[in-house]
Amino acid sequence: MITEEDRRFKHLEKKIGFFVAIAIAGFLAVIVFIGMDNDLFTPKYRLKFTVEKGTGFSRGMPVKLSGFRIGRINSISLNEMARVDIEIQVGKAYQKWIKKDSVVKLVKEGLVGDSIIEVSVGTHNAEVLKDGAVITFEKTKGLEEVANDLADQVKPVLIEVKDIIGYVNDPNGDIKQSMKNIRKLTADLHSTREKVDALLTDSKQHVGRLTAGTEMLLKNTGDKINAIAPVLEKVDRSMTTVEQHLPQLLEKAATTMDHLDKTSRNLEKISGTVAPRVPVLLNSADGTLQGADTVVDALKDTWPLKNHVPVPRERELVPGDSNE
Amino acid sequence: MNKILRDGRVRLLVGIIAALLLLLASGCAGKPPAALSALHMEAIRHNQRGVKAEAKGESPQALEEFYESFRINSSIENTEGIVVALVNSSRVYRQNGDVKSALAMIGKALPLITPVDPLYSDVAFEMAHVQLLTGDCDAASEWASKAVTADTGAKRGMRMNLLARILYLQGNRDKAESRAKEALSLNQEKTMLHEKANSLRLLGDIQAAAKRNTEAAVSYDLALAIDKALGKSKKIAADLCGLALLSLAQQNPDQAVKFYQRAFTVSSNGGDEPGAADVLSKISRIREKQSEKGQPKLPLAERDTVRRTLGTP
Repeated sequence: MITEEDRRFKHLEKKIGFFVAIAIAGFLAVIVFIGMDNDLFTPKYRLKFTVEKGTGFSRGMPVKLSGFRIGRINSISLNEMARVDIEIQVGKAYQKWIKKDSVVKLVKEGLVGDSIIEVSVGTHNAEVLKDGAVITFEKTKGLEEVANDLADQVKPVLIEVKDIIGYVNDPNGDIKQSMKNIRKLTADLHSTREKVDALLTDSKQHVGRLTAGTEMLLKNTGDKINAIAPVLEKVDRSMTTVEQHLPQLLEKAATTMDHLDKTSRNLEKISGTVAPRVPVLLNSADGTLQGADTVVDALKDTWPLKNHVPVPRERELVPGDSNE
Repeated sequence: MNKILRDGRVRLLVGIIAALLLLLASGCAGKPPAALSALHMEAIRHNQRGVKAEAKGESPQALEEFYESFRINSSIENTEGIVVALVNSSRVYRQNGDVKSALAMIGKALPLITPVDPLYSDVAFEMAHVQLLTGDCDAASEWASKAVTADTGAKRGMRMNLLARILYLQGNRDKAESRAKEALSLNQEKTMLHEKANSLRLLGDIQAAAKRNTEAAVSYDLALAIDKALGKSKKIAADLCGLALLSLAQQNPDQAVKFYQRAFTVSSNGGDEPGAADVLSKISRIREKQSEKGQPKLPLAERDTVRRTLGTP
């Protein structure tokens, strides 16, 4: 017969009780740990603020002060004004720093991090906010708004840049044309350089020839000067003759001029006498002609001449022909 | 007294004195011509001077005179004088090749007169000439008909000649011939001999076109005789050219060249250089055709003369 006196079963109740106690202790420890992690055991107080839109806010979102989490969003609700009321729970321990001039902001932790509520520290003398108090919400610009602002600022710059690029790229524009001219100038410079080189080479040869030519010219000039000498002697002799005869000639010219002067004075005197009479004479001649005309007209009207004077024909035409 | 009168010498003297008194009385009895105002006379004198200037070939001077006549006549509202000045101006412009100005002048004259006016025939005749130069043969024919209708005097034959010529140019040969013959019968007066020659020349053209060569030759010869008598170089050259064309139609180019050479001599010595050049070019063409057919070429000297005259290199 098998008895119940096996050694392994001795103090079995105690052993089971021990294990159960350990399990219960572990379970309680887990609960405590989770509660602590969720601030279940921390004394808290509530603060409120209102925002235009609830976008970006979520229940349980952390509330941080100087980078430390001090609470969470407790509730989000739409009010009668269609605005969003947000209530946060903050640890009582941090109440001393959250004052009337403190503000809350919705910010991102880094460029791609989670959104958080950030509470600023109030000034030293300001009053501490109490449980249920309203804290000021300061709106911050979202990434989209920042991007839009940036775009608004950058757009004119981009347009300017586009214009500049267009101006630079215009085939008929100054820059392109200048570039073209510079290219052409460069190409021309090459040919100019070649020509200058050739010119210098030619010049060297020409200078030699020129020198020889100049020498010959100088020699010829010397010969000519020698040849001119007799001519100059002749001129000198002629000048001597002229000098001898010139006074007589000048005297004759002076006498002629005197005569001319006298003649012109006489003419002036005569014209002075005659000129006033010219209009009178002309008038007289005109009168005489008119008289003659009258006499001729009278004669024309006198028999028997009037029968031979042709009657003026009104219809005198340039002769015509049928086959002109 | 009776004794004195019975003396033959005294009777002769009395007779002479009586005859002289009668003659004097008859001279004074004539109706004096209507006196014209000084301005009117001046306008007439300007017109007469214009006609004389044109006859001497001084067209610019003639136009100035006609303008002055027109201006003075306008100042005294002498419509007849205005129309005469305008017709004369148109004629001078036309004869100098300025058809536009001629048309403007004659266009101004037309509204001033009615078809019963004695000058209407002259105006219509001038208009027909101008229209012919513009190339409007229908209008020219219409105006020439009006000129014929309006004229019942000596110049009717001249108007008829123009009408016949226009009809011939329009290709209406039968009507043209009948009108030309009518004109020939009208142009029998001594004063219209040049128009008689025109009628005959035109008849010659019409007959030559109808290949009635013998009749044409007679017409041209008659015209030539009249034009020679009148001493009209241009017309003589035209008659000779007609005869030359007739010779060509009869397949006798050598004879044609002879007529053309005569025409050239007449034109060049008569001062009609364009006419002479035209004749030379015709001779040249005949010679070229002859050379194509193996005939001797145009003599070099003659050819050079042709080229010099025509201004070709």
